[in-house]
Amino acid sequence: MPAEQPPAEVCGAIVFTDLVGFTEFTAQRGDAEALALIAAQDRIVQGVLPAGARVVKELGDGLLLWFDDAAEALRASFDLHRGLESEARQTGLPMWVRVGVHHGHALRRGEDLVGHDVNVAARIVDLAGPGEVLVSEATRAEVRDRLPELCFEELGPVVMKGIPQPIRLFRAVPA
Amino acid sequence: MTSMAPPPPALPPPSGGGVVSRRPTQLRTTTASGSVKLTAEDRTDVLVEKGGYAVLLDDGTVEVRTTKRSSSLEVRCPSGTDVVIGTASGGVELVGDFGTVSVSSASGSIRTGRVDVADLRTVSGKVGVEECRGRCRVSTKSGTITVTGAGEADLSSVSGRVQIERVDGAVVVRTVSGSTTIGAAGAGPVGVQSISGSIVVRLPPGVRPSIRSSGRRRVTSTCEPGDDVVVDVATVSGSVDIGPGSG
Repeated sequence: MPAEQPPAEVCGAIVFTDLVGFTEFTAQRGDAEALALIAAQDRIVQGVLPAGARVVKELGDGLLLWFDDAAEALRASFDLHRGLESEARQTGLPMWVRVGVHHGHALRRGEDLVGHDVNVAARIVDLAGPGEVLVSEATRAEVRDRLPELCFEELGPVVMKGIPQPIRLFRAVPA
Repeated sequence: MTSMAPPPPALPPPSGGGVVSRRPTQLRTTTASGSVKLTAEDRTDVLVEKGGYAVLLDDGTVEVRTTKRSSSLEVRCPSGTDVVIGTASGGVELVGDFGTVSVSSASGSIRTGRVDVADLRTVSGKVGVEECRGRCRVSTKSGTITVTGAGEADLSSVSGRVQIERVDGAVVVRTVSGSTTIGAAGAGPVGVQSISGSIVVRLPPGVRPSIRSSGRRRVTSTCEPGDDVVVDVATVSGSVDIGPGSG
């Protein structure tokens, strides 16, 4: 019997997205329109993912995404926003996504990712408002000056449930 | 990789408290579960009255550290101080006149006096702003947002109610199911998007709005149409009522 391989550790950007108000939208407009909304998000996401990025898993109306590169993760996050805004203009319906980005390590479990940094990214998106991209200090440090089209507004150290140390958060906005 | 660098070691005074006898470039603090009360007043130092101690950092920032993980803090600082506060569940109260204020909390409520600029977020607590002279940004999931006065406003809530009594310039509000009431001065565009929340916009008497509706509900307006100010509203199922205020 072959020895069990240790889980592979990867380092990169972990991104959680969440469609704001999806539950209410479904209640108001019905399952068919909700499904169409998810399909629109899927189409937009597939269009903005660069090489080295993937959808790790779907979480209802949210997604866990993986990027080898933090700068690519931020570019894709804003492309996702723009795509959904365009979709909202066409349909006339309010539609927002919120995004949390954290750069760190994770262990692969099949196609899934697990680990502390995955949990941190999940907590970051909880704090994001509609249309916001929030990033950890680790993400900002990794990106450094590679994204002159963006600036980072500090929100301060944030205490998150289950995370022992405060995480310094920033809002990424177009420069 | 995942968290702030640990703060430089510093010993708290035996009884907590402490004074930093100079005006800070910024005041920062983080608490896990205790409340935070900051009072800005006519003074030039930072006085920690309860729950922690103050440390002056090289860049002029004063960091207030708690003596216990869940301490409640009470701090006095000069008027106009910029502050950055992070809490998990404790409420935050800012009394007096502050500069740029940034507060993040998981579930605590946030209440501010007069500030230059506000950037406030809490997941489930309510938020109240007395007066924000510049841009007022607030994000909450289920708490209500009440702003008495703001220069500009960018507010979002999922299920909480949003009420702005007076906004001088541009205002953007996004809600899922929370109702929105805005008293706009008519000097900047008004944008409100909601899925099921009702929307009420009040303008000064005589202001003639250009109303754009990109949602699926008909807009009720008692204002004479014109091009004095753009009011852009979108809602899936909430009611929309635009009309003159009491002046």
